[in-house]
Amino acid sequence: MVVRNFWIWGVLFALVLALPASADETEDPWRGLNEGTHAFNEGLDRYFLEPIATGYDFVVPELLQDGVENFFGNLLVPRTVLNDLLQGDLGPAAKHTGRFAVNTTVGIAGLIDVASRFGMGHDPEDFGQTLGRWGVAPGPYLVLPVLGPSTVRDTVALPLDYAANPAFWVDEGVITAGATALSITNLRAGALEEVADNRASAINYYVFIRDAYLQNRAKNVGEGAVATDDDLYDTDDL
Amino acid sequence: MRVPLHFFLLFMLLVPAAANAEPTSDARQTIDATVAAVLAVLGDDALSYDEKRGKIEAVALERFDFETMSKLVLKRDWRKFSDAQKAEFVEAFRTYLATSYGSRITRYNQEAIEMAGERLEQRGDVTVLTRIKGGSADGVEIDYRVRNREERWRIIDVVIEGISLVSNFRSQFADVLQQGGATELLSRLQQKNAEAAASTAGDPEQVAEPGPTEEEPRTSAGS
Repeated sequence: MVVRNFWIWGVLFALVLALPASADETEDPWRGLNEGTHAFNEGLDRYFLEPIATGYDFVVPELLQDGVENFFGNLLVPRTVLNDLLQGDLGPAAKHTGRFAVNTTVGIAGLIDVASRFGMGHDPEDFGQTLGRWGVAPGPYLVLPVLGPSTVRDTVALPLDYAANPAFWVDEGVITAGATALSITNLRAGALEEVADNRASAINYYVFIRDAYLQNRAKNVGEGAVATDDDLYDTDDL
Repeated sequence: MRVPLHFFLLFMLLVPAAANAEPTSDARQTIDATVAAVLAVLGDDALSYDEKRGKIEAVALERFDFETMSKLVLKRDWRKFSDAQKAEFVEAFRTYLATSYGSRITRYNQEAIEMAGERLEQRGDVTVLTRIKGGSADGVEIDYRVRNREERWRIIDVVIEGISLVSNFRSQFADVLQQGGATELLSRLQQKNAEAAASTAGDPEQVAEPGPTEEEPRTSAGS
């Protein structure tokens, strides 16, 4: 797993370095390539992941799906704590530490989200956000094969995100692979209707996804949400 | 992916109009009362799925300022539209929003909405901040930008977890306009509306569409 991830990182990194930034100043200078990758990911989802997740959703009871979601969600909390600290957010770091402690013990290894009922919810933080907080610009939009929407900054931070997940350090290939497959399937099963709706209704699905991703990231990094962009709401000369 | 896309679907929690007085409190009341109205519809088990959708669409039609929203999403291209095209666009966009999102919101019925404050904006606008409590979307922030026009406070944008409806559609539409102009955009919108009308003619058919698993997820507001 470790080796494979490094391999992926190496390829992506080389890709990022090799890509020419086009002259125009948009946030998506690599659109041609991105649309190709997007189409590939869509195909992968439609013919592989979505059918599997559909079957899974049919067979696995809702309660069990929630448990799986909680379990894998809990494994992301250490990453959040680390990034809270790196961003100097001590309050949230303490809250998330408490959450992890409670859910891992009382919540039976994270299967039950007890902590949320006591005001200890999860506001996920990752290394891409931390870099953003430190002033690193997101750079061009980048659609990753299989993994989906990202930016250059978020892509570079990705290996750290993986390494901050306790599951990453389980040195047992079969278990790790199985767990990864389960977590992705479960995640996808939870969004069957939403994704179908988005695909059906979007006028331009690629642009819909891109803008949603970039705006949501901008908000989470605190770079100033689009909503405060006043020009957006100007109708004076119309 | 960090934030599931389904957050994006939560948006049409709407608004009634109020009059004058202090702007922030009016804007806030507007959102407050509308959210309450929508939640009441969603929580009313006596209503069928289609009835709920119809009622929520009706609220949306009244509480959103679709003309302003149309101008905002088209921006400079608005001036290139003929008067007839403008009227057609406002109508088509209204129908598009009401159908594509009216159907989704009926899935969410377990959440409560908490008022999280408001912010005075330029041009006299007010942004009302809300947050979902409980359910699968716990903690999701939904902001409503409200504008006072023609003596009524109405919604001109909905921002979910930082994702602005107006901004997102502007990008999507700009793309189409660049390729095919107003005619192309209008025909795409009409086409989407026709598809939506066909697929929602009767609840059971719509449920059958995506696959064999979708027996009754509509009522199961969870993830």
